[in-house]
Amino acid sequence: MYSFLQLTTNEWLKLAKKRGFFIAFLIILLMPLGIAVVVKSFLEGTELGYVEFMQSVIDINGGGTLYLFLCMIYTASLVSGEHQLGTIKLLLIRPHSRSKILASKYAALLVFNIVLLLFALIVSFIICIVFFGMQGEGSMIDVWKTVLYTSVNTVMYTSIVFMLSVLTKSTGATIGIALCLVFVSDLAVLLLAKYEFAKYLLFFNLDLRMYEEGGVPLMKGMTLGFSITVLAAYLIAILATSFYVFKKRDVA
Amino acid sequence: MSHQQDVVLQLDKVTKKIGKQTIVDQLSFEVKKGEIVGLLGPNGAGKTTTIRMIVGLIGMTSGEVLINGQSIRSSFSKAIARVGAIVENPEFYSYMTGWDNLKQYQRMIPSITVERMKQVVDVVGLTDAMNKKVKSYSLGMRQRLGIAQALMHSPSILILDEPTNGLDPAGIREMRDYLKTIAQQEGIAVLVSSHLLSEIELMCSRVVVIQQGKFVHEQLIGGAQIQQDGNEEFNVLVRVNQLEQAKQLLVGREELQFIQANELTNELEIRCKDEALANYIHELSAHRISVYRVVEVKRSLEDEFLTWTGGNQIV
Repeated sequence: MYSFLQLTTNEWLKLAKKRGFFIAFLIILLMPLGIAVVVKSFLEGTELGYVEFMQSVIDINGGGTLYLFLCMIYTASLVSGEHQLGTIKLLLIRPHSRSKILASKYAALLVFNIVLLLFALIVSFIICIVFFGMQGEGSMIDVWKTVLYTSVNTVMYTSIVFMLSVLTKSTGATIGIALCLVFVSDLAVLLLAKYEFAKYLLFFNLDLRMYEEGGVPLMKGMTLGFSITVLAAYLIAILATSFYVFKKRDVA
Repeated sequence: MSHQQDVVLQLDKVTKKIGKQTIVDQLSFEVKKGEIVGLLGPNGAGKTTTIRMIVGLIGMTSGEVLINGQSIRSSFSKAIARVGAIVENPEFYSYMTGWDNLKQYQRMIPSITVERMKQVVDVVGLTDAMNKKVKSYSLGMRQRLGIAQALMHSPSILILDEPTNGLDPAGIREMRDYLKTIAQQEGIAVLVSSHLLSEIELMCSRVVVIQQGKFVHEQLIGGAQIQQDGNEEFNVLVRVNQLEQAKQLLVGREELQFIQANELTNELEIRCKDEALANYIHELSAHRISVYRVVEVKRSLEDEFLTWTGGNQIV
């Protein structure tokens, strides 16, 4: 366990020591700041509650998209970057199994997702307090729910990015394909909704907000339990593919 | 059994096939403690593939690689724990400092202390560069950082793929001396692949030659070669003042084989054994023929290499 923590520390440092590392945090800081400034100066009299504000900063259809893209871009190079730098050769000749090394990379990905999300929450809370004061209705439980929905969506997408990074060995291709997937997903939902099998597709199950009170599931017969099962199956398949390929690969 | 204990690396019928193509074919050889072994072969002979199979970067189709008796296939972690390697050019995280890069590998092997790291860094002469980012390093400095990385965990075998690539003459010499030192003093076995034959000749105590993935030849070189009992024939170049007369003295002597004569330099090349040469020189003196020089004609590794590999495409 200790050695796994050490490996994850290594992976985290590889991310964090990059020169542009702070840019993601800068963007996440500027977004709520921008929203607050615009609301304050152009929509006079509008008062924003902190729950509402925090939710909008991380919601899938709000600032959450930006958060998702940042997570995807930052984790895209986790595996492919090692191939492109050539450091993979020195990394894999250590007394650790390839599975363990890949697992530590996935752990670093999750840590990055969590850290960036926490940063977004803290920053948006502070900005809201500064601009609009402590007010508004709703409770923190609503915020945590939004955190959960955004996290499910982000973990699924970043896991796909992770797999692509293993498969393509190219950061550029990984980011390209992944962004395509994000944009295609809405279209796919639109086009395939008439087919019965579509409910088994990943894209149809990513947004769990549809099971909220007042929400409408995308298709008949879909329940929260159903979606969670489908998502879990996809996640297992994605990770199994990544680990299998990474373990078997001849590193040339 | 002492022989077995000294063997650090053992390849047993290692084979790699990709599709129908056989890259490495039933390759077997050993590397013992304190030995520097060169792996030679023309381009595409399978040197790099072999080295990658030894360190587990590439899987093998059949056969076995044992490091200190541990299989790289079935007990990878145990086997690789005693290996230090640089595969092709050592690549680092260029945006990190040299020290941060070494720390990466230190975290992966719990037994490495900070003192050991400092010691290794000092040995490769990079102490002053440790706080600089690797992207500002010269190729030579990267090579040395590569060596530091490979030595940190006190391995029992060092595996180097083209270690002198991109080094200047001073760097090459430094690297060679250093490898010899650690092989002798710490008893580390070293396996080196290189395409610089002269380099291999100066550095290694033994070479293993492969071609088209197959074992072709094995030969002791350098100091290890001088274990002759005087019974071996060798070529020698004798410079005299009277070439014709010296040549006449050879006639009818079976133990002195005439090879060629060079009239421009007054040199005579003959093939003989120790005693025969001594007698011949006495003979020359007796006939008052002055002997200016007696030089052994050594075939360079390159010449031998071409014979072993059939002379086609030099590496």
